[in-house]
Amino acid sequence: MTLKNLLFLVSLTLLVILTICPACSKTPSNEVVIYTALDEVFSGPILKSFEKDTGIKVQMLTDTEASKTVGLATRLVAEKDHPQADVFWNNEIGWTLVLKQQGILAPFSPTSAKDIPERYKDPQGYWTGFAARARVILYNTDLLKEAEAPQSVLDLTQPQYKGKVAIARPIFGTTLTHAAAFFAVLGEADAKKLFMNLKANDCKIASGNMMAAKMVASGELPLCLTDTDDANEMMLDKKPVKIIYPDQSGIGTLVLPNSIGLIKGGPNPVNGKKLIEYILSAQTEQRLAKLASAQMPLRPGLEPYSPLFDLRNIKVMAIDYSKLADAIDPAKKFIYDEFLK
Amino acid sequence: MRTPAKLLICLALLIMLAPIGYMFLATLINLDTGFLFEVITNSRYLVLFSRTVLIATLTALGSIILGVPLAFILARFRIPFSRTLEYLLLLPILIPSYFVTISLVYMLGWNGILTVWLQKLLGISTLPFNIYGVTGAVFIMVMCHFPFVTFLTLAGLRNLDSNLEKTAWLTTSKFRAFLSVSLPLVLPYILGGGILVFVLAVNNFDVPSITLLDVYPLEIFYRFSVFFRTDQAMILTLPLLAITLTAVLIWYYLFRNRPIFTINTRWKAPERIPISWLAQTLCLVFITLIIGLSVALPIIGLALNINSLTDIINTFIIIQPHLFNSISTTFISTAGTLILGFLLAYLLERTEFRFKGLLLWLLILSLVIPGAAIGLGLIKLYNHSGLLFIYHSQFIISLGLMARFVALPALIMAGAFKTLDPSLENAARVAGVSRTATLTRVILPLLKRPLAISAIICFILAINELAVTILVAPPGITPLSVRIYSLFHFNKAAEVASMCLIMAFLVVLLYIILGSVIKED
Repeated sequence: MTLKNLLFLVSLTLLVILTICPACSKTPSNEVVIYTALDEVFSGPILKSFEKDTGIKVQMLTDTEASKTVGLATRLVAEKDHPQADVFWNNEIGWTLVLKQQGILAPFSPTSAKDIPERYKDPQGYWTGFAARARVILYNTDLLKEAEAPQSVLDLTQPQYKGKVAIARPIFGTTLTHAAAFFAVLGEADAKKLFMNLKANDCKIASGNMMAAKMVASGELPLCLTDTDDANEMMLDKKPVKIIYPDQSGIGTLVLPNSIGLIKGGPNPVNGKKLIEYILSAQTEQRLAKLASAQMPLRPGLEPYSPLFDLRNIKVMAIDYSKLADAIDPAKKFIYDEFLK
Repeated sequence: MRTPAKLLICLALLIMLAPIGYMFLATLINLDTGFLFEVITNSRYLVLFSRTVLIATLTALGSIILGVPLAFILARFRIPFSRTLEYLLLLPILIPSYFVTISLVYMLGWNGILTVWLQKLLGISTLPFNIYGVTGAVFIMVMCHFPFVTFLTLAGLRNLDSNLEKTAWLTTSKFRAFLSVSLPLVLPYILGGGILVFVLAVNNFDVPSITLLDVYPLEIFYRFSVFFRTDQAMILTLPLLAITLTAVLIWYYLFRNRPIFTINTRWKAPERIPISWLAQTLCLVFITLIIGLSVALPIIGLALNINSLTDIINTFIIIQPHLFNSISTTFISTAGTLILGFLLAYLLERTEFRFKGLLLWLLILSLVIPGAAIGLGLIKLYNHSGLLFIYHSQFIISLGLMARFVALPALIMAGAFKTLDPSLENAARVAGVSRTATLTRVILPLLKRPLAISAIICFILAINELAVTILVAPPGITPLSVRIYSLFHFNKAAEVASMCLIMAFLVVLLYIILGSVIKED
């Protein structure tokens, strides 16, 4: 055998692998492709139920919590010319708004979402919100008495909390969306002032909301800004922590719903719409509400995880999502250039 | 080698390097000159770059300080269990740096098990040592990388001609002979080890991303992920590229005419000298301490998060599909990387052709391109109707992994080819043996060891790779590295620790299997 023949054999083997691999992973045509930022632990069972009920095979792609939806969003933008996904299910709203701006989403108004309040839906139908989390202050009851705890995010800049507050790095995930919400609601100047005051007050930066919650739960720091699901995890672990819904006498607490949208030009639009209808159904929202992540149902008639996570008891921040979308870029740039400098 | 064969190899290389080329071309065509100016003038980038270089330099120095004495003890002194200790010292390379980081954060983080224990023991609220700062990053990286210095120094010591030292003994003391004759001969190996560690540390993403330390590779990641600016990320890679290329070229020229693997020496390496029992004990204590810090501590850190054996069994059952995907993808990429790496090394060392220098530069370049850039390049190139059969399969991950790591086996094998006497091949050819038979019966058996080492390195790097994998993994496939990284941030310590231990076990198993193959030889 000559070297030429050997190389020919190697090339042939590579070709066989190239042919066999796709064949092995070949999926049935009756399928739907979903990119989801919600962890597989929570999204997986719901998608399995959809498969069982409809016979449509679901191909799921999840993101890492570490990259906070960014991996999926980056991929959706990179695939814009030849979309491979049908549905994008985000565990919050920020990147969904960015994707709408980037022209990745297509309008679709699902009938199953009719009873979801209009404030949680895009007026043009590019996305629909459901099952929310709220941005809360978590405090350690061993380190701080209830009367000493702050009642507003603005209070965190007060001298008595200097060096005692943790927040997740606000360039990703819900913390970025929270920052953008301040830009949209307070105005750019006041929002910038808030963040610079936080910085001056020696606010600690954690790798994520869970880490911030852990720091408070373990007594490392008395206070943090985090999400309700992370706070609930700490409470389930019987840690000495309590939740405060901030700004109840002011601008209200920011509520961030899961959001779902149809991908423009996706390969299976009909099945994509069916999946969106399914995920937005009241049953799915109820299922999500009963999980440890304690997602808060947006539909008035559904039962929350516990009275603590009942949206009806909370003053929700009145936010215009189109303004929030416009605020993401300036907020991101300011935080990146100034706050994290 | 005939021209069609050369062309075929170059074509395969081109397919692998195409995503990198695509990203660079796209950046050049729409060059953001404003951002380029900002990178040059904004002190933020200078600060981050300086910090990154400082960490890498300290890591290289730390690795030399730790690695060189270990190599000298193992190569020159007669101590018990030396062979076993040598194998144990390889373990830090086998355990990925992000496992070690996760484990050390569990142990020495703000509320780590060891931190709390030490705080109670010492009666202080804050420890002087902080795993999240520069010192912590250097400590973790030294623990992960020092064996590179140890084993390169060992190679240098074992490739020494003992006659040189013995001649020097005639005129001077053994110690002076060692300092004036042996040490200068081993110095390039020590420097080579240091440079290798520097390159690994300067591009390290895992450690700072977990310990939240702002460094230059993280800044590049943020350009991709926060601002969606691939072109700006590519511009940001340039300074990192320059410093890494310089370091790799120095490394390449240091080893241009020096063997890393002893394949057929015509001389005898210096013998190990007997030492007193006290010195033996001191040496053993020193080595045990290093193994304890670099291997036992991370493993204990992970194990402490596991409540019972059931945790590991349950995790194994849950991750089985992810595990199978990861292993099959890794095997395909490792096999492809090895085959192409071997052929490229053959091209570089045994043939003459016009673009040899360019090929070498391309290979080195592929080592320092950020994984995310390769991932995005693959999406742009393969997400087209004619190529969707690749894009929708696991093979897209393998292609990305091959593009990232093909240079490593190529450079290692090129080093091995240098030590192989060409007269052996010529003799076989003169005796009428065909080229293929020469390759399979003469060259391959002699290069078994470097091939096995390349296989282990490629397998470890591929199974733990995150940057390319996360961007190109097809729907329905969740590689294990992605799952572990995600669960770590979800605070699922028991699952993460179990997965890390399972993965480490797999890598060690592969190492034992390949090690026994080499031993049989």
